[in-house]
Amino acid sequence: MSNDRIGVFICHCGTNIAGTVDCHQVSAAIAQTGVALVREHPYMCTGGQAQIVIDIDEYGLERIVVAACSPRIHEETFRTVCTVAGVNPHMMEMVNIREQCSWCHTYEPDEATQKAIDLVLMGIEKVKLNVPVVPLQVPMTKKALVIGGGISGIEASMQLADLGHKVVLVEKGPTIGGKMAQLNKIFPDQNCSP
Amino acid sequence: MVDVGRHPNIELHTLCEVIEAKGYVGNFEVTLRKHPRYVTEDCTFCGECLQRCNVFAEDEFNVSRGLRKAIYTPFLQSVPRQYVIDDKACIHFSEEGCQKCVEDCKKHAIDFSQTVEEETLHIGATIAATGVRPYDPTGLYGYGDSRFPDVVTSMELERMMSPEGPTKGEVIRPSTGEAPRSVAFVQCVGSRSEKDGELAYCSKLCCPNTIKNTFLLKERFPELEIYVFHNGIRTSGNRQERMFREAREEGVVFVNSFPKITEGHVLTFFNPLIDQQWLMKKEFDLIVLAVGIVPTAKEISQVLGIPLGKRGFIKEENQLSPSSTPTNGIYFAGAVGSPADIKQCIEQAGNAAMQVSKHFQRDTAELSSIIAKVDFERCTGCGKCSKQCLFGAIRIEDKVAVITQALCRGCGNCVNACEFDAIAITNHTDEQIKAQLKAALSEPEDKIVVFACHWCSYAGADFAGTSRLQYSPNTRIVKTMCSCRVKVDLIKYAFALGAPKVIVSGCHPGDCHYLDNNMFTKGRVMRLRDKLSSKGINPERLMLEWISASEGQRFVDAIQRMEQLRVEEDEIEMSKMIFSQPKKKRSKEEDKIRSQSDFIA
Repeated sequence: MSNDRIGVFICHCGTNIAGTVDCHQVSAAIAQTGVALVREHPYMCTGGQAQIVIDIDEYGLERIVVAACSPRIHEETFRTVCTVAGVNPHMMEMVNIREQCSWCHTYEPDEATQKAIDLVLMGIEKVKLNVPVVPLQVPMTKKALVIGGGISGIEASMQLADLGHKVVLVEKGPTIGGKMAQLNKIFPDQNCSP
Repeated sequence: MVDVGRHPNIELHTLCEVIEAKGYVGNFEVTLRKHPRYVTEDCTFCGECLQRCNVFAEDEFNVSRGLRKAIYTPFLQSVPRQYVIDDKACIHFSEEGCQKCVEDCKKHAIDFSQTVEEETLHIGATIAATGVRPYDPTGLYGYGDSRFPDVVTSMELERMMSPEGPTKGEVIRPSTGEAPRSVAFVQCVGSRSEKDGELAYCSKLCCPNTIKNTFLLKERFPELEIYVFHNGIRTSGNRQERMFREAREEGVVFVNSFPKITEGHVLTFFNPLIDQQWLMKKEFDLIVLAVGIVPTAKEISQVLGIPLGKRGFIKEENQLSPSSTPTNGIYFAGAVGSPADIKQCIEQAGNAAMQVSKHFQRDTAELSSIIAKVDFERCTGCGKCSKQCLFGAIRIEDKVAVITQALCRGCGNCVNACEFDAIAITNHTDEQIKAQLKAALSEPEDKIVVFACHWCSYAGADFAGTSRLQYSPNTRIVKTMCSCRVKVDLIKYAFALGAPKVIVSGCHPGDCHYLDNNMFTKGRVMRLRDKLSSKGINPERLMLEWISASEGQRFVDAIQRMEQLRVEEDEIEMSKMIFSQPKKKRSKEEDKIRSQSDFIA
């Protein structure tokens, strides 16, 4: 797998990343790996989204690496961007150079920059081997089975039925009611059993 | 209850069991077994049949403290409003061939020709709400012993107090039929005990239930003397604590002591107010054992293929999804998941119904494709992966492992189980992780490789960053979905590349997002540490750490502890050398040859 269809986007996150990590140095180092494109952007999650779409089109990118914040925050965002641009969302990898780099190595900018380079390289190596993934869509039978006709089963069935869904309630005994029906009064207010 | 019977959207099957369930979210195929009622829907509940029937049986609804006929209704408000014939008691099925009820039924609603039927249904989602049964205290405090007829369970007292119960609501001493003058409640009977056959947990509703009963008894008999022997009263929350206070104000005596029972219903106990050693003796007219609750989840867990916890309750997927089982589309509600009172059951039922309703908002369900894939060329069908899959997503068919996409969660535990490298997780392959390690360790000198699971540890590392906690920039974090995905070979590979230190991190025990898969991780890492020791490598170079999403500091502490560990260059060279030696791979062909030679031998 060659690097020629990979686009790498490096986010400054204002000064959140760029204040510690020397993003120019990172892009210079990454450019040497022969990827199709390395681009820095002050805010990938805002203006950068459109940039990805444009670049995918212009450079014919097939795999994307976004070095920015944690994938826990923006993985879905950039996956959606890829989908919009016609690239399978699973052909995008996020590299965490904020939470796990710039923010926690604030006083060691050189080491943080080297770490960022390594993290992006790791991301490139991973994305090279990614395959497009399409989730399988299966039909939904809109009918629920509730097993047990005690208070929980009764209540769950009633809630679903009142929402307009079809429910099959199955009870082992000859009547519904369960243990609740055997109770006389219930705590804490001594109400009659429902 | 009555509403269920007449709701146009609810199809009610009583005397019915689920015997088989197949399929996946949106497309389950379940088989029901319907037992005969012998009374058709034409029944008007007039009661003529009841008058004629002369056959009696134990009344389960009244905890066998009374009798009912062979044709009966468990209680007057039963739903459906139809009588039922107990075919174990009814003599129609014996040689006598009685027909009395048939003769008297003007609606011709009795049909002895009914038989067991099976029906298959297609459904989209399931809620298991099979509930609990009271703990059977036979043998404890003289229960079930004829010398102690006045020892009853809390459920028996409950039925006694019910106007529909065996005593028509009169609370009596079973031995004499008279009203009691003194009552003792014994809490935690068979509960919170590690003894065999007893319940290790707190059933949580026995304390407030007993206090409720003391009120009801005081209402009927203001002069009644009531003692409650307990092991620490548990009345949590606002209203329950108020009940406890009011009961004491009413004169109920709470004694923190386990009593002993002796002949004549005499309880012996410590009086903690006077002297721990001073034994009190007191005779009681009625002794009520507050018994815990036992989940009835075993059968349904087998049918639905959902796991149970150690105590036999249905295991929730994780504590933040309290109605979800690990199988998408199967939910549970009520005490079958954990002891719950009526109010909590209703709350959970609402939650489970909401989960199901969410599925029904859409016409399709989406199944993830980030799952295990089997290389059929390499798979020998040995079945090891299938045994280690806690989700039951792998079955062996025609000597190869087959993945059920809807059940697979992509955790990667099976990848570890496979000795033939025949199984991989899409986009989380060994090759990909190795490629990342290679990039991370291009200059391995002082690096710390951290494997972090997606759900907890990686989030914990994020949290450290968000909190601006500072740690060594030598760390290189590799994210996996679950710590169980960290194959031993990958750790070895990192050492082979010259990594001085490796941390494997995951969710805390019990918090794993893939059931208990992190326990597999623990076993593997611990075994590898032993192996390191045996090869003369400092095992401290491989660390296993549980880090939750909120434990940024714990993550940093782990890194700092690792930082302080000194690893000499020759040590690194040694581990590099040991783990660089190519592992002898087992392959399908070799195995065939081996099994043939075994056969010959």
